Amino acid sequence: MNKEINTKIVTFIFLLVVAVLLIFLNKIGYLDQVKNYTVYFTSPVGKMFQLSSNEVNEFFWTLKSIDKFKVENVELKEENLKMTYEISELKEVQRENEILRKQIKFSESSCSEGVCIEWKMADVIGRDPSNFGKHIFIDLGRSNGIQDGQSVVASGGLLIGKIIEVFDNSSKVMLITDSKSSINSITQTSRANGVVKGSYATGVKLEMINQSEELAVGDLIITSGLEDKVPKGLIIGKISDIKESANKVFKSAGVNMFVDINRIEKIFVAIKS
Amino acid sequence: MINGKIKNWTFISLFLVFLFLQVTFIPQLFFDNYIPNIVLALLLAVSALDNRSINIFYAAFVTGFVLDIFSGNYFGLIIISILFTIFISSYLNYYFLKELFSYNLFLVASLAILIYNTTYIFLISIGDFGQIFFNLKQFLLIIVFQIIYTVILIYPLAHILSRKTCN
Repeated sequence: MNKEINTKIVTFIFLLVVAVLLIFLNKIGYLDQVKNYTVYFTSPVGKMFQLSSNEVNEFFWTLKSIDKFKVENVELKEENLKMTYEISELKEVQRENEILRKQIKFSESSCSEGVCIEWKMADVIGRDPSNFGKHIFIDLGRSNGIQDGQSVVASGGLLIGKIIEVFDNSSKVMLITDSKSSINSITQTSRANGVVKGSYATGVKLEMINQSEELAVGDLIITSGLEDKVPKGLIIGKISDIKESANKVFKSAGVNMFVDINRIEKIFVAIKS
Repeated sequence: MINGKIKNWTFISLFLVFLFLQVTFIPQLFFDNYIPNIVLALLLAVSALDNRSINIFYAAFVTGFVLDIFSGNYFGLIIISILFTIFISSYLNYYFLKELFSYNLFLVASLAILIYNTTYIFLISIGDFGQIFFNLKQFLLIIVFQIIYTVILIYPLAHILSRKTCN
């Protein structure tokens, strides 16, 4: 029996040493190809399961959300009324804008302030299997011009994360709900600067806002453009509640996201040039 | 201690299927909730049934390696956590598990899940300078859910595997 125990201890220590060696090899990039092929071989099945699991999830989610839908319906009706008024106002502004554009000969372009953004569509092919992180894998990689730090959005310009690791044909995206994620942002109306941080299963929150800044519930939070590869103006969410205390240096706020980050199938990577 | 001997092909084929499901199907189904670790449940069931085998350490190593690739946290942490868990659980099984389908299997499995998650979060927190400890309630919920999932899985798995043992 002692021999068995000794064998176990020796095996355990041997594998532990190999693990430490692998950590080191990963740090200097020697495992990139192994990672690349692992993701490559599992991605077709991951993609297939992604579609089928979405249908299963959709069914349970609908059942679970019936009560929420009722409340949301009332809120949306109110919002709809408000929007109708705002749309008529905006139409006026648009007409005025067109006249002004003609006057200054402004050219229609996707580029602004000398920065052009190319949007590349990708499929979600895998997700983080651990409970302590929120990451997804997408089917675009180095060969498609993807680089670390580029922002990833859902349709409608809703920011969902950033690229953190790039392989040949796939990339790893850290979602904004991950506890390590932080995005420089501003509120659209009051222009208050802050940082949107992920907070485990509870979504995201807006932090590091100066006490002197004004915040309002419902105000949109957008990216500030201070980060090199994250374009300005991507929508993150809207303020749901404000937390302030006289004895704290900064204010914080809860954020309601417009997209259910867990149910995304197609995303876009913003490539700045 | 229980001295069954699981046929290698049974273990390897089950292990590969579970590992494949763990990185493809399971995270898709449980993404917004708490993800069960079905490979760890399998390894714990095998460890309970075949306490003499050291193959389980190699299987734990491969599991950790693959899960680390798909995990967003620092590479290598799952390998170390899962190896440590299997090492401790093999000792717990040796001393406490006299009968396979007993209350002790539940206790050993629960303790193993606790050890796995605590080791993992401890290793992450070393890298993150303690930032990860922000949400203790969430951490406890993860452990509770993992224990529930593992207990649901481990008894049927142990039952199936015990039929495939040879002496």
